[in-house]
Amino acid sequence: MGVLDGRFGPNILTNTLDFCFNWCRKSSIWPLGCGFACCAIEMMSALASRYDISRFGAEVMRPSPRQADLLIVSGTITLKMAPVLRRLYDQMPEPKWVIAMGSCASCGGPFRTYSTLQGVDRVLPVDVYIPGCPPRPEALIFGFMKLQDKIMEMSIASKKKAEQKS
Amino acid sequence: MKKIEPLVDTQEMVINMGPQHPSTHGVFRVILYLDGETIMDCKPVIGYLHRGVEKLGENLTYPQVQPITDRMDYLASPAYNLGYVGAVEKLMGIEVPPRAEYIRVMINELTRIASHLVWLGTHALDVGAMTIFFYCWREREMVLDLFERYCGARLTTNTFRIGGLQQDIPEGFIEEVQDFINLLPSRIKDYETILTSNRIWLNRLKNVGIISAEEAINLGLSGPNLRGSGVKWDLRKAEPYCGYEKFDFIIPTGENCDSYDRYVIRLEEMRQSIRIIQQTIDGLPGGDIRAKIPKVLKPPVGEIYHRVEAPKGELGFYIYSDGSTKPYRFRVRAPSFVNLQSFATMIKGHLVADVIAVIGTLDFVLGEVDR
Amino acid sequence: MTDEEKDSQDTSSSESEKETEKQEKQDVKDPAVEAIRERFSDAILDVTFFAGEVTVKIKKESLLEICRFCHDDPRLRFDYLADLCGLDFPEQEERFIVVYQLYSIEKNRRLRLKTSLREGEAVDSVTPVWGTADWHERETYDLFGITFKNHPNMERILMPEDWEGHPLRKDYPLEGPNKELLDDELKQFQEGTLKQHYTETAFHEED
Repeated sequence: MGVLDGRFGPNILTNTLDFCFNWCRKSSIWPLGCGFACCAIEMMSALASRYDISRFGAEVMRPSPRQADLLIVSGTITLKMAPVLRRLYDQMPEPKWVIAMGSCASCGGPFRTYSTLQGVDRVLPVDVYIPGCPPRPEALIFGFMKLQDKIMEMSIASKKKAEQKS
Repeated sequence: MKKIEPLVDTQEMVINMGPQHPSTHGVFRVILYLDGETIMDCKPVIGYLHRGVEKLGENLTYPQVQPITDRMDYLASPAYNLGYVGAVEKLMGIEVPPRAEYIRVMINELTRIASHLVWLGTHALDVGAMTIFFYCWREREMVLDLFERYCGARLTTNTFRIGGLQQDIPEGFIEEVQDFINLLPSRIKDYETILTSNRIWLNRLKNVGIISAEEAINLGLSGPNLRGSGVKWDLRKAEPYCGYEKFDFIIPTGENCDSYDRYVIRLEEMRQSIRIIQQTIDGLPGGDIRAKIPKVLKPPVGEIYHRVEAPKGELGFYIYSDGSTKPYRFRVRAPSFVNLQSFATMIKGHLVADVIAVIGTLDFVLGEVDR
Repeated sequence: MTDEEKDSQDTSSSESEKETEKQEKQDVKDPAVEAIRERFSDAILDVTFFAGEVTVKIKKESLLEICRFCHDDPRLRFDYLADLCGLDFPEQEERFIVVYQLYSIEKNRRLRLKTSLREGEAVDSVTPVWGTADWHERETYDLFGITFKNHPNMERILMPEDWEGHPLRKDYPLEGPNKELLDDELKQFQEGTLKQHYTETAFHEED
């Protein structure tokens, strides 16, 4: 993978490879199995049989961050938990994505207090924010699909050469 | 038994079961001191979900505090709502109309069923029976549908209001509840068929997490955990609230004080909840759903401690009012916080895999442990 | 009579009813209080009845003795400590109050004990009597700063170990020590100048 990345400008080879890699990545996103608070229960409902998220390829919840692609921050993050969360994120290999599920992860939620981190984007780069308290499992799946759209836009073409061309 | 002399000198090993772990049911950390696989001692570390709910309660008015109480034990939100509105009603001396009481009991018992279904699903999943997880969630979705029918939200319901209910039950709700409780006994029988006499289940749960009755009372255990040790104490019978004295149900207790007894007790509690719900449907009176309360709530100066039987144990709300619109002190006595204290006593001398079984049998929720 | 007039009549009559009820309850004797008064009459500072509950305020020096008496005496048998928490009244001299909610499973009776102390003073730990007080006292220490003598493990429990300050005190701000930062951010957001960081995933960056 390191051989091809950033070598070429956008051309037919990179477009085809982009499509293949991105399709593989988006169809088999493996979330990290960690739930923090109430949103975790809706995440578990999304994994159960009614709102089945394994239709989208995410049925394997890896317990170890070394084997996971996606970190779904589901619940309130406190100042005590924030370093732990950052460490989990750092242990995940690239490419990795983060979904901030719920109000507490997006912006602190109803808890504007001394111990709550006002939004997980203060410690992690977030790709998709899902509002709700808690968001329905269908909302989580919608956010998941938005993440899949974002993944489809990834490219191995070099940014500099793309800008030079345009 | 003859004492076996160790051939090799061993060292104590320290293992961290960190805040992120698939079986800890949230952000719970426990540091285990092991000799081989046997646990010599453990040190639980909590506080990873401390959101400052008690301080937040001091800065909000009485009706505004209610949505915060949902998010503590997020598996049984209506039970917490009931505890809180009951506390404020006790403080102000408000009497709730009988129709509101019956509907509150109905929703409360549905909550108990939902909470015990989550307990069974996650406990079985951790011990290794994955099928039960999907079965329980299938039934739980039906309960969440009922909640959504009634108050608009699946999980954090913010239902009931100080003085009664926010709205009457919709048309067709009673029939749906009746269909659900007609269906549930056969499903509980399914779970029992898979688990109760299963050799693996028995080996994993029998004689694991034993705590005697005196120790349990000393450590403040409550709910099914205490009843598993043989103490016949249920707040719905001992100090009835919300009209529970009108309903007929039994309190299951255990004999062997181990995890298997607690499993049997919780299944039986689900059956008793079905019995209570049937009685509320049969005897539902007509009339008002909300008592007359002033527009701006200003309770008299004083303090009360109101307790209810939440699915996890004795839930207490201690409110100190100074006569203004906001509580001066809002204290939540969370059952899981107190139950978790007995964790260290329960796992001494057991193996590492038993830690998972004990976490499941204690049935704690980090939202209310840390508040 | 209109509804409003009826309401006001109702509230005034119920208020006077409540007052007479309160008076009656003052005369009602609670057996637990009487048993404690018999033995420790000089340690009891105040007895109040409210909403069917009884509260006894005691001196902090006799706290451990009275708790042991409540636990062991066959007439009382308060074997269950339901709750232990703190209260903060910063304008009073004895700023902190520690509240104990006792329950007897056998006799199905409740009692509340309260004891007050100044800032910097310590109160006896009741862990020898009820083991459940361990974590409750740690939490009270963590959130109020009240120390308990002879506690097996007096450490913070909910806040991080290196946290400074005791959050549930009345002079501690709700948003915590970083209140100014949060307010600043809110102002920037309202003005429209708050910068947000986006993750770059569209193109691959050259090393």
